[in-house]
Amino acid sequence: MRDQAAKFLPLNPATLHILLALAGEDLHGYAIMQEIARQSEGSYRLGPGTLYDNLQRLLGQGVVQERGRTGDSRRRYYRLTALGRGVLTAEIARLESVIHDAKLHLQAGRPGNA
Amino acid sequence: MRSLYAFLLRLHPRQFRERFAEEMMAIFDEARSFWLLGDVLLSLMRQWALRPQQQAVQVTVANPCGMFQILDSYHPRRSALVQGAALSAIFFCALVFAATNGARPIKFLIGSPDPRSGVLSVTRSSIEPAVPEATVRVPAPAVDPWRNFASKYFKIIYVLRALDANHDYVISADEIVAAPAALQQLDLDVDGKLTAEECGFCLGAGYVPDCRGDNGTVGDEHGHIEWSRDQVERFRAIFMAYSPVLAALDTDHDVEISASEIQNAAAALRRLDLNGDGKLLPVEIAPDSEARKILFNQR
Repeated sequence: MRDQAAKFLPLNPATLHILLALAGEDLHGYAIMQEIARQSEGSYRLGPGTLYDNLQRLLGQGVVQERGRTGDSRRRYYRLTALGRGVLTAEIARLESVIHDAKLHLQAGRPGNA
Repeated sequence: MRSLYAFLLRLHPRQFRERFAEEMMAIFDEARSFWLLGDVLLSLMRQWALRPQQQAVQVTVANPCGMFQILDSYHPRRSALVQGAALSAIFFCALVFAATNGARPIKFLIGSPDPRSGVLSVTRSSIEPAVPEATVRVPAPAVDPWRNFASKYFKIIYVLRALDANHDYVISADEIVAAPAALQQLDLDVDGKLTAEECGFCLGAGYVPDCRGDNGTVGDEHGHIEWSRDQVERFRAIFMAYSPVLAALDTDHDVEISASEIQNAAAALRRLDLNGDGKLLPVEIAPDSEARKILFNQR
């Protein structure tokens, strides 16, 4: 699974935000957009065109799957697959590593440590 | 704005449109934001330009072991099938009708300006229902009076015949330029000038211009016609004045076209070009009626 998830890395910002939005619960398209806006505190706005372009790709890759329709027949809900969760986990780990390395480099570069 | 958004959605690739257009429309209805139009435009460009691999036809294998595959789940509408069948039947009936009627012999109009017993009668029922058969008299082709005269005129005046290289009875600009060379070809005795005889002057079948008798007369070999020398000289002068072309070439009116006049023939001919079109039309080179009468009476 880990090797399989590694093939998707690194994720582009839109994909990362979509997977993050779906990590908590199953959401329909508009809810994904709102969740992304909430998580990024309005700094990242995803349009429906970009959202469904990414969802189309993620559905094809098996990272996301459709859960089905609910009361509003026009809304479909999406959820992360096991592979999707693995991809998100791997991406977060990669980002943590980047952050760790970045902190080390920044600390090493301080004038007092020279 | 909603119509525009829906229209832009319809422009998306079919696969994407069928899958996501409804949801995108639902989001638009909920958000109602102007920037969504820009987003759908970007999506449109992205789908057609950057996602060609997603437009590939998904092949559904109906029978993995067989040779045939279904490329599309599309089925024509039943009404379209009925409409197609009706059109085919109408076309077939029209074809049969045309074939059966086309087998009948077609009657052509046949006529002659000189109807004889061998000329077929003409059926004109479409024109004159009361007279189903009639003989059509086709009028004789119109005769060009100038062409009829010009054929004789150019035959009599050797100079004109020599100038009119293409025999269209019009002295064109090129023929005017080539006039000196054409006139030199008429100089049979190679004396550098053209006499009236070399220009076409002739008094009869037995007339020999050099056969002048001591009594100052010329006559044919049978002795039927006898002209005095003065008469012949007068006839020569009349001949050279008969055609405007000869009169123009013989600038000094000495009843012959000298070597210098031959060399200046092009310029002399251009003076006859009254309308300035660069060529000599029949009306510009036709003889005047008085001279024509004289010459024809002599012939």
